[in-house]
Amino acid sequence: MQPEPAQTNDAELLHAIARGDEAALASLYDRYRLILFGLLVRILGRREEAEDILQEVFIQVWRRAADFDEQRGKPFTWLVTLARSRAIDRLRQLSARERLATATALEAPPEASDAAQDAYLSEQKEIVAGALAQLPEEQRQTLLLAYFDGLTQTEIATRLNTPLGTIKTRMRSGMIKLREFLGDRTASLRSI
Amino acid sequence: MKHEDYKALLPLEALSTLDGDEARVLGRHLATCAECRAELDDWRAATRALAHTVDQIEPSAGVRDRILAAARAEPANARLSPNVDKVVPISRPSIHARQPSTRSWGFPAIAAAVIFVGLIIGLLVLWRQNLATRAEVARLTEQMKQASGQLDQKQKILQLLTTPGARMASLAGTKEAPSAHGMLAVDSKSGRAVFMAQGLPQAPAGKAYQLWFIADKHPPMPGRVFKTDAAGEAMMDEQLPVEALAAGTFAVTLEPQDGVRAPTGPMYLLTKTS
Repeated sequence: MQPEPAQTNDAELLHAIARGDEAALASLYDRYRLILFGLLVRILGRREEAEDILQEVFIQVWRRAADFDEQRGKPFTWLVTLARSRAIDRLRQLSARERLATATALEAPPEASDAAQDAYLSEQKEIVAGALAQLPEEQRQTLLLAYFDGLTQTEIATRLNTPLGTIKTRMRSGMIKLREFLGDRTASLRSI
Repeated sequence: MKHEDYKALLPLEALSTLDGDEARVLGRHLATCAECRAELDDWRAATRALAHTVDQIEPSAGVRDRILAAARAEPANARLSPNVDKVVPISRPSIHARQPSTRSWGFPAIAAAVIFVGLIIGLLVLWRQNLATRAEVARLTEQMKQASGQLDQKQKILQLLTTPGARMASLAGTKEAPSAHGMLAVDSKSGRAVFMAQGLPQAPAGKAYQLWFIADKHPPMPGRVFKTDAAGEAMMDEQLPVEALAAGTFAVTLEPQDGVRAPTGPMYLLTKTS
């Protein structure tokens, strides 16, 4: 695996943001906008909603950077948690009709970005996608419904018309296998 | 539940997919079990890896502009002395300072130089005015958004209070904040509630206030966490769990900013006893 190009500077950027450094906020945005926006679009299915949440996330980072605690996790993990949490809150406010994604509206190729960072993120994507591909379909499906659709186990059971106990077993087994497949690489993924 | 039963819930908690009851039971266990907290961190690391499976997508250029404009307009940073060099400009005008020539200038050259310098100064003034105007627009937009949010909250309270079966509880400040007070309006049928607080001190970094519902024969049930604005006020929507509909006591404590499953910090507000 490639070395992580951004790891050493993320915490420093957050410290600078906490001191009111707008350039640091811009740098953090430039570094992670593609993957965070991709995550938000995947959850919300609409560019405009995803852009709204992306803006809220970075404004929250601006306000709360001083609260960031390195002992509790890495900056990227914090960003992903903020983004996913806000996106799922928004998702639950939207009607199913509003959530219908239009594939054409989502196709926007990335503009010029940090090549090393992009290569690194692409490599992570391959690793996790490879691990997911090794899961049985029903396990993968429940994990993705929970993570990207924000559904509770009961909601997943209802949607799949499957007993709740079966859903719990699938999710637990899927998570155990995912962690095993990621193996040593989990530590690397955790570190950004 | 046995220890192993709690451990079996950890991967599901990492996916935030547990339903309310199980989440609360596990939360109470996590508050006292360091082993399970550490294992939950490991599960969360695996879970967050799923974020890497998405396609990278470019947001509109305007998002970056809006974020930076909002950051500039934040009152929290108003205390910082303006430093244009710290800001990454959206499009910085290209200004090349000219070195004075050592040769003697004739009048036309001096006049041209004066005009040139004047133009440069004018451009700089316009540029700074533009930045200030944009910051002001962003600030006013934010104020309008806040005012609109407050109006929405007041309408929700009014709507709640006019719902048949609605009830209201007043909360008084404890010794931690004697002048603080709060109000909780609850629709007993749906569990929908609106909470307001005033006079609370600003929560320290890493901390936030958390609302609690206390019903007979139940441990305190956690509500949402919140922070106050600069005036010490807070308003938020809440959805009471079914078990909390019978709650006769409500309280607010100071807790870690992500909230806890059982109260650990000092109490700031408590239902008034009549």
